[in-house]
Amino acid sequence: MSSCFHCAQAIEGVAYTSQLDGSDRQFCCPGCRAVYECIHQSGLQQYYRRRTEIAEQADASPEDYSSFDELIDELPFVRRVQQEYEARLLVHGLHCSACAWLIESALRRLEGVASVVVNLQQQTAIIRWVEPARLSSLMSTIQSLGYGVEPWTERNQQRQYQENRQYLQRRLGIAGLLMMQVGMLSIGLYAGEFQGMDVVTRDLLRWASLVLASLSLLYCATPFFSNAALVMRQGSVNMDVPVSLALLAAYSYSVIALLFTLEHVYFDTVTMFVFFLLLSRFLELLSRKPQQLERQCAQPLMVCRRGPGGEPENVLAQRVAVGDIVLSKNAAAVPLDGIIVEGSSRFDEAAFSGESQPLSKSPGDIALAGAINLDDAVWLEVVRPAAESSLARVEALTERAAASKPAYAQLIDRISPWFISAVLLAATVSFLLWWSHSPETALMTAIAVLVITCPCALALATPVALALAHRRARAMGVVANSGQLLQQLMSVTDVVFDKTGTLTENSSAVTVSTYGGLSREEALQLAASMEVQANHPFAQTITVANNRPLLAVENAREYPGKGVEAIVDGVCYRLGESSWCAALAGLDPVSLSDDGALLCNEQGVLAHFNSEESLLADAVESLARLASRGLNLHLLSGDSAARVTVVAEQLGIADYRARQTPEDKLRAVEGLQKAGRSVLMVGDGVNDAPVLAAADVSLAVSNAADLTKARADGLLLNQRLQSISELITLASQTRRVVRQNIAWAITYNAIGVPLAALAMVPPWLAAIGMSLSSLVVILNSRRLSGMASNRELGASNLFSKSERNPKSAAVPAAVQ
Amino acid sequence: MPRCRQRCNDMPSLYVLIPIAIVLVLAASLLYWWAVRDGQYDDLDREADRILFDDDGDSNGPDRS
Repeated sequence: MSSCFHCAQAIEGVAYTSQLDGSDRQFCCPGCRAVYECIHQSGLQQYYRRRTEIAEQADASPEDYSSFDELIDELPFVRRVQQEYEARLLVHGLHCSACAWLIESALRRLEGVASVVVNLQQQTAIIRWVEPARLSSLMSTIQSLGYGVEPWTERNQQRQYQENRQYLQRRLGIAGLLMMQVGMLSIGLYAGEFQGMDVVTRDLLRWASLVLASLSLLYCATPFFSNAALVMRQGSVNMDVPVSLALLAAYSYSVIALLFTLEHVYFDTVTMFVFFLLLSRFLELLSRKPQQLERQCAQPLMVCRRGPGGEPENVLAQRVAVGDIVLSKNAAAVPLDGIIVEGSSRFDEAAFSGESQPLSKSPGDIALAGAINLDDAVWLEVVRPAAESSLARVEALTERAAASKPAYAQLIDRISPWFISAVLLAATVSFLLWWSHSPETALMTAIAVLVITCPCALALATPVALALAHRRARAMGVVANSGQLLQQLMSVTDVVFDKTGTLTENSSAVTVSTYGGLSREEALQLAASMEVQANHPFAQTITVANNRPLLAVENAREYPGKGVEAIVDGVCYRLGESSWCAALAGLDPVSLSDDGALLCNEQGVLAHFNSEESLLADAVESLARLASRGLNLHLLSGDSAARVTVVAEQLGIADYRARQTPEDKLRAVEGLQKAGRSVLMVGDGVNDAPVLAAADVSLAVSNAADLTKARADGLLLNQRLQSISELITLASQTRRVVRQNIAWAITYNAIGVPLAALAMVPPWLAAIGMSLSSLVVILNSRRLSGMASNRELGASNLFSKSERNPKSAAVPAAVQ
Repeated sequence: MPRCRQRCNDMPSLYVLIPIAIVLVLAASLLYWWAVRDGQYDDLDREADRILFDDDGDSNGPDRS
């Protein structure tokens, strides 16, 4: 088996080939080939040599962006400055610099494009252009290169992160410059103390230090002061309070020392505090970088509205007023909440309820924005503006969930005011005790105590580790829907699988047994024509196996869980589950095999399709690995007993049950929980939502398209079962790292504070100690993400080797 | 005070050099401040690789193979 030249997926069945560059390139799908040809014809094929990450499988169906051109001046993501437009687009599938280069080069060749900047970290492209170029053609060009593109909608979290980063980065760099300069001056001052220096020189160096340290305090240290003021106004304390106190004390003492020509000034200590405090703050921020989400914006930007004269017109969704009549197209998301006024259809509202059974709606019913209209286009009377639609509210909820803190982070938040109060008390006590010795020692000891304690090591211990663990999970192809995912996974004892789609895949081979004189080809042709719009995995298998042109089909209708009914040449056919099909033919369902799919008409059974279901490539190994961790495996399936037995025996699952209804599964999971077990449920997330919700923690094996449909704590987007055991490993690593972090923070503070109180730590050392202690926490947490990126790097290296040598290109294992 | 006299000869240079150092630090700080605001630190992954790609956006030769 060979792998696709573009996206490196294993090629199943017939490969699509292209010989543009002289050698025979193979592709998995027409989409990937079209992208390759487009890149090649633009003369940009060095992309394939330069890239360090593999591209995603291309989407063959181009979208129509022309409606953007009509309303160019109203679009929220486009700015116009005189003749020039500037648009910010979100680009999906950007992996490495080669992607950015490819998009920039391709767009710059279009007439009228003034500049293109692709930002890899933000996954955005900012394009500026003048008249002959059009937004729609720019977007289509990006799509033709194999990337997903959509208008950029700003998310609060992301904007906040960017602003904070710039804010801290500016202060950090300048604090560093000032610290070095004051450091140079204080070398002169210290040298003078030993060798003797006249007062004029000393004062010159001191006054220069004052100027630089004042800048550092007034500009660079503002985050600490403003945070401390904010918190104290609310009657509480956080770690900025002791930090601000220490800074102000050291600075004021130095100013007094300068004016009254006392022995020491501490301007170098002040600038060093500021720099190291900002450094740990900055590193903390970097480790909490929010993830760029997959396409979250299911609510369309453009809406087709019925104009005053009855003619349809495209408008922006946010311009639509309550009472307007808008079109909900079929096979697309409903644009706005509205009451159906014309037409009827079925809607999939799984994005809200997790209920995947489509709901039939007719005039008078309300359709929710974000639901998928499955059948026919309908006209809606809008009842809520876009910003308040159901979907917008769901998104707001999701955002809030993402920001929620796990239980032990909350605990630390609660105790940290007490901790800081204790630190303030300790500083006061040591100040008073040392006062009789000398006021200067007393002040410096108090400052050292304030600075050396590191509540931030304690506060960072958990959130940084969790944030990095989530990021690594994402790199493994797992999206955490809930912040509790990793925490729950740590204590799992039982893994329950739902067979269909999670452990097996349908192979492309179909066995067809025909009855009633149809040939194999005719049966496949008929079935493929009926299934053309169906979503079931079996439908794809039949479509692939069919090699004849499709027949004209009328009234095709999909019955969820049963099959498809359609009229071909005036005869009504059913294709799907055997008892439902047999009912049409008036046969006794018991006599029929309940495997696979039947094709019937009113006369009787015409054909029986069965696909060779095979275990997923990594199923045996992955389950063995899970079992070797001491986890109990269970299999609950709605399939026939014969199949379930075969699968369970192959995988070595002792506890399996066949023909389970969702209620049975729910009972089984609850039974396990009553016995004191903690259950991880692995399903497809669509048909088994209630069971997933009942389990202690749930994973859905899903693809990115169903992101909103699947209701589970985590989604396995790469469909690799291996990820489950990797994820459990990650969860236990995370727990270990969190414990190490907390242990370190407590030990450090327990040793550091007494030492500082005994005046054994000078303030500058306290500042370094404090920064190092948060650095230890961050670096220790960073180990969680390090391993994943190494693994990915290894895979991509292997891939680029096989690519350089076309003869050995057929190494799909290298990419897995 | 003979010791002072010898030292005082060095003073004029320090009077000039230290203010110059302060001005230079301020200039460097401003430059850095501008560079961050200009977005030059926004995407550090990208710039390291930029040199590797033939930047033919300005030249008009799409027919390279």
